[in-house]
Amino acid sequence: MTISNVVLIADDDPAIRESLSKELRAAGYTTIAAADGNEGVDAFAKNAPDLVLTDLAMPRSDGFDLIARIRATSKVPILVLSVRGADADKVRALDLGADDFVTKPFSVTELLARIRAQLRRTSAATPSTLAFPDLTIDLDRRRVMQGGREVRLTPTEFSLLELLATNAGRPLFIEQIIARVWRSAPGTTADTVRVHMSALRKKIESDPSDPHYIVTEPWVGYRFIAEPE
Amino acid sequence: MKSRSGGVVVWLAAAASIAVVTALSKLAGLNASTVGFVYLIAVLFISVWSGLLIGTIASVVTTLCYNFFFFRPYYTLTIEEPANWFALAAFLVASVTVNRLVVAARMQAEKAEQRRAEVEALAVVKESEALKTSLLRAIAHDLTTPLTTITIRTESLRRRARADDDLRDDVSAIAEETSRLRRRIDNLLAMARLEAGKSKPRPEPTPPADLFRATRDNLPLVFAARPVSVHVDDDCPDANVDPSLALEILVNLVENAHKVSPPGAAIELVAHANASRVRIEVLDRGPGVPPGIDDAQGGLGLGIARSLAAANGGSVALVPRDGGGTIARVDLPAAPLPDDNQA
Repeated sequence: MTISNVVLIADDDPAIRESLSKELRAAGYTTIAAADGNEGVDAFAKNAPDLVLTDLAMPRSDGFDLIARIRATSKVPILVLSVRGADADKVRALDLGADDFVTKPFSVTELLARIRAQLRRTSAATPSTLAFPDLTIDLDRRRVMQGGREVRLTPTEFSLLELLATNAGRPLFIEQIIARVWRSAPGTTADTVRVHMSALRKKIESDPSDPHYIVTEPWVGYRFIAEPE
Repeated sequence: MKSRSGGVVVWLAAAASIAVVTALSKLAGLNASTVGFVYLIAVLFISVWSGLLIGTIASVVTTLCYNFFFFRPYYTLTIEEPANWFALAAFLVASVTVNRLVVAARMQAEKAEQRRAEVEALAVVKESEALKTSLLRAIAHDLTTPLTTITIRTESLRRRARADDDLRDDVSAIAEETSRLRRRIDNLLAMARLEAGKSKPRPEPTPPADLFRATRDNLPLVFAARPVSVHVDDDCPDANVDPSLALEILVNLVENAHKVSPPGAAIELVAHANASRVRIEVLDRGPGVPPGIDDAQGGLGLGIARSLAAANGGSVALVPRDGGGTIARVDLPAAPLPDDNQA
């Protein structure tokens, strides 16, 4: 990475702003800070950051406001710092267009992984082959290799895996999955997705008791958790 | 409001007023038609402070008195003039109608009063719930914010302490205690939210394997300190639970198991179908279940696990494990299996 990515941090707590800025700088990012949604919108306009990290509860103009105002003009990745137990807020933020969230108090390692996943999405065109630890997906030939052997997937299972893996690290709503994989075919429900997802997980997870690729994302849908190699 | 149709006093008062009206009218020598109006007024007042039953009986009694004392021949219930039959019948209909109208009006007034009181009570409840909700939100925010900073700073310190064993030890202890404090706060907030009725459990099909994984993400230090094995039976259905509350249950039970286990001893997490439910077990090699265990024995964690399980339509039991140790057994409702024809 030659040019450092710019991250906008919006949080009303100065201690969190400072410690986050310090950690992100240590990880090679450039940071700008804002104390509420209004400051966030201004800083966004001035600095054109590559990623926005925002708290939800802020005085004057809150995180929902910030997300909505940024989404009106930009597709920049937005990561939400949510509070445990406020699941409805989290889902609302995703609905407004946020891409992902971490729950306070989060570990920096986890936060950095989520930031990387978001930046990957915007940085490069999707390659024709996706490589994860012990899992290779050839998008052109629609083949999946694991441990030197081909995993036989049905066309639906492959489409599911393709959608999840090209969005590795990001939560996907059930509705998004139905829209993309089933083209919103009438009668397609969360249960339909569940059945196919369960079959897919059985085929690609070497130990279904201890998933390494796909996990459910409570009240949202699913998330592909492996990081590309 | 007190019942107006009951009570000996009301009966006596009704009887007394009829007697008094009758006696006064007789003494005053009022003519029969005037007495009819006086009786009607008496019935009206009796209706106001009694009810339908006493009012109706009073109507009948006054009709009889009317006949007995004021229609010839006096002091008999016989009626001489046929026209008096009509007078008496008209009086009876009028007095019963007066009674019914009065009682209906009063009941309507009482109902309105009751509705108003209910609406007021509801408003008070809503207000206190809104207060609780915003208070909980503020507490969650104010407690979580400093913890977030502490977590970030500790992690930074830990990274730089890699080379120094002594410092690393201190930093690990801070990290461990911080996460314990965090889990206590999470627990108490989850309980408070449930109690405040703010968060009703929102169940959805949740694979036990995902719960186990989330437990590991939440207890990195426990999982780093000792082997933890996981196993989910192939035919184990998804649990139909609120995923974040179910996670809280598991985190508490695994933390308890970690506390009582000897260093290096493994903890096992297993899930399987049990009748129509999902059974999740946390197995340890600790000192086992003491006789007569109660919540105090398991500490706050077990109590909270129990409450959260109950809120999810499940239960938690501690049973002795063969070969020593404890099995914390969580029974949870199973999610219905989706139709096969969709597969």
